Amino acid sequence: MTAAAEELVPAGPPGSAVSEVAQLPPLSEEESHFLVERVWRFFCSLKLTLANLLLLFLAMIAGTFVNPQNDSLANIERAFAGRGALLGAYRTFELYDLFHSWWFTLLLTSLALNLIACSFERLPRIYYLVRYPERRLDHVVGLRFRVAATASAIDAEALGERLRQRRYRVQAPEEGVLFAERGRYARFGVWVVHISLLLILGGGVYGRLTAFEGIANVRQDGGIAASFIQRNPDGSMFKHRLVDERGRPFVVQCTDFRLKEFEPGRPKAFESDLIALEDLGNSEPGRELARATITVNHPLRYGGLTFYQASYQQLEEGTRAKVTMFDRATGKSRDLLVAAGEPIRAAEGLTYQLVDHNPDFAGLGPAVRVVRSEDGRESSFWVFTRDAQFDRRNRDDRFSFSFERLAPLYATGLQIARDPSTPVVYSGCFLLFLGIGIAFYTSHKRIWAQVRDGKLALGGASHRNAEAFGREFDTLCAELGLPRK
Amino acid sequence: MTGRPLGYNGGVEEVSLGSVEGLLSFGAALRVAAIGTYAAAFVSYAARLAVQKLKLDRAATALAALGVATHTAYLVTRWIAAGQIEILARERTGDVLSGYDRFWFMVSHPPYTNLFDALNFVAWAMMVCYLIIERKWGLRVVGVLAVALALVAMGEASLVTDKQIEPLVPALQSYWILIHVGMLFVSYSLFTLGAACALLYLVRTGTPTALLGGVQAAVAALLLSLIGGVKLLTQATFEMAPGWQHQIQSRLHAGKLLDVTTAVHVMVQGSEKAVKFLTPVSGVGPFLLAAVLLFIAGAIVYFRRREEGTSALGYRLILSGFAALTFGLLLLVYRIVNSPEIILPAEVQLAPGEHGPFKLSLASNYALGLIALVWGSTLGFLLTALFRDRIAESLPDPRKLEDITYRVIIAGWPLLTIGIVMGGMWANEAWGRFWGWDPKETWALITWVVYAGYLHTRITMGWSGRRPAAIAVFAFAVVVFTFMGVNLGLTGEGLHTYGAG
Repeated sequence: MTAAAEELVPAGPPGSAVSEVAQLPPLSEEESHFLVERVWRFFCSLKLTLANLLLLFLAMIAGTFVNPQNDSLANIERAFAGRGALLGAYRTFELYDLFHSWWFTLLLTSLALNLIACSFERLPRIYYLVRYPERRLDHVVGLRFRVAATASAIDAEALGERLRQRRYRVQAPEEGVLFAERGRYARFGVWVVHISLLLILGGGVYGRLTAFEGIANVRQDGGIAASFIQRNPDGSMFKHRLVDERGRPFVVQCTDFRLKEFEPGRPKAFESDLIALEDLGNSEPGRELARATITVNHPLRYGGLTFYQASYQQLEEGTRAKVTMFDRATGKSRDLLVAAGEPIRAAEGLTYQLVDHNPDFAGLGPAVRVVRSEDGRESSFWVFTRDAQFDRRNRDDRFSFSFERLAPLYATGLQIARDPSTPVVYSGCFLLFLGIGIAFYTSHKRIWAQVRDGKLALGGASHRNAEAFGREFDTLCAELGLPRK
Repeated sequence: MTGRPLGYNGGVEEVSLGSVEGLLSFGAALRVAAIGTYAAAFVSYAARLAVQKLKLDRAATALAALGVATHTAYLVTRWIAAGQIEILARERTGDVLSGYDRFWFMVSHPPYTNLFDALNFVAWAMMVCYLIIERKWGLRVVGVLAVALALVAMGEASLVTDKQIEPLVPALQSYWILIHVGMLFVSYSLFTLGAACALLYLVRTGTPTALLGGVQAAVAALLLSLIGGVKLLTQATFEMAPGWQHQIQSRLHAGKLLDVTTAVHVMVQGSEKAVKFLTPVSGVGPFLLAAVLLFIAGAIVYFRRREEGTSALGYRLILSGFAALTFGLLLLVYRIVNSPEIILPAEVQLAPGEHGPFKLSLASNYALGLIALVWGSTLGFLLTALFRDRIAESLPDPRKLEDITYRVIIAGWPLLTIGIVMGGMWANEAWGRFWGWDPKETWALITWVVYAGYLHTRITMGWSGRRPAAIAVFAFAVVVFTFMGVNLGLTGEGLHTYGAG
């Protein structure tokens, strides 16, 4: 190492980069022997923070490599059947669900206690710093921006007025001494960030105690779900009844599921039409409570439960046609999913059957052929996807049809979750955005001035972004006619 | 729906298809031009560093700015083309879109949703951030590293075969993708620049070669271990995901088929999940393991001799590790290029829709890219260690380098934090859980923890100088693994797989 290089090694980061709050002496200097205070000090310590972060770092790396497929304990027991020690480790350290294991939770708890202790310890210090600032220029040391006493025509009052115009809060503790500051709240930014992290962690704990989720598969042709199954990482299962916040049972009916594709194998959208119905405890469906078409990013929320489109299952080989049958006599229409040749008994002695499908009938698009049988007499006609009113206009018959699509019979896979912690976590998130906004994009600026015997001395400091403040300080000096090196 | 033309025969759509195709070829030309301009900028930045008399400052900056402008234009064409494809794909399948729908689908597909686009986007973000740094603080030295990294990322993108824009899968059809992913990628590029500044700081302050080499070897060993996983460390077996080739209809030329390589997925026993199938690549494992062990040995020797400044033994150990890595890498490329058909074991159940023949392939190959990155950075160390005094002399004031490392990192950290949290909010809205410990989520949090550590040591404990700089350099390995390594398939399949990759 050359001598020149050694000289250039900086002695430390610029003063503005190190937290002033951290530099304040501890509130009591004396070494305490009280156990409580020693525990408190332990949880306030930054070394603990760093240790926590380091352990979390290692644990999380391990977490992504140990049991990456999230196999349940039952599967792991099967895989490690002959290896008792390894299986023992898996069980003891709950490696089948590492991120919810007792020791990972302990680590997070330690981080949370650390955060709580530091936040408690910090608040009075920040308050002290903001409430009782050093207001006399000659008492402040180590200022980066400073102009030594220079002859100047400006008096304290005019200077105060100028600073007020720059939206500073100006105080004059004594004759010829000015103290102006702006953005005091910026000092609380980091504190708010830490509190919001605590809130998010707390929301996570609350969620872990109260939230649950599970799966229900519901047939698309009017299938009804009254409960859903929760699968736990240890392999156990639990069945939840669908109930709203007040404990009233309800059911969810799926009236249609659509798997839309750009082309085979390239999904465009998964959609389920859901209706929440009152559960009257018998086979009759009750009053309609809510209705929605859900897609992957747009769930249905009802009664404190959220219904997400999570998966689907094909229930049988082959396809069915989705048709709507309109009854002129009653003015009502019915949606049907029928297989080829399956008779639709529309009225006494009157049946319809779908017999043929053409993906593009004479350039008019997809169509199905329907055979009408009434008392042994048969006739047939085509129904088109493009024009839903076509059949109603063209055929004089009590029942008319429209054809929507040909698709397999599916059951929609609903993920159903109750998570009362969401508002807590969300308020933590918004508080975090606010805290980050304050901590990283605002600064607490202070300007000290002393006017004595026609001479003006000026000093300034900003708790972050000293560069921008430096420019502001230079402009101020130029306005006041002070020399700036 | 009345009388609307569907299918491929509508005259109007024929015209707009042509325009998308034209836009994409124009974009491809812009991308090549951007790479060329960056290459010229790299030469200028390197020349002004090597020969100080040359007055190349302005030329280098102008070239970099021109490269960024071209690159921006390229990304814009890509974004517009993706939007038009989203709209056309829907109109072709019979959807009737309102004006609002058209606007939404136009912007809904940003140019960072597959590996190819993501690499190009990160290179762009890094160059933009670099130019801002240069404008504010005039640190042209960093330019060499920034442009080199951008070229590496774009070169790696060129290797990816699957460049076609596909309409987004349902899970990604959300406005959150615009905010969440973009923010995280910008933060990753800022951290990369921070690592570059920190590295230069370490060189400038005369940090002993032993320390630099130790950190470099440790980082290389860590990354290789993460890439190889438990199998490499315990059984000297290197596993990677083979691909299966299939053909898909070109979206632009009706009737033309495109070759696409997709990683093979198999079903997990007793569950409905599909995960990447991994197969051992014969002969590569021992070389990689040897490289890991030699790097660890090199790091230990270097750390023990750090008082002496340098160590010939340490250098030789890393050199031999590098040789082992080179053989391993060459063998891996050879094995991939000459891959026989891979027969799946009988007990493995294939994911639905996938079929053979299965082969190792270069396309979308994260393992290869990451090993190449380790190889390149080790080579970088081995070469620069020889000329380090000359390089150190030409670097600016270390205080400035340290200050800028810090500023770049505190610019990236809020973006990382907000990006992660917004990812949680998206997950909560789409899947009903805020946090699911999915590998990408976890690794983003690991990155966050590392930088939280950096900020606390620096701001609260007042550490300065080499220790925070070493953390910033080390953190780069974590950022790289978060960006690409999670997609290797070792850590399980999450929901963040860069489209079909």
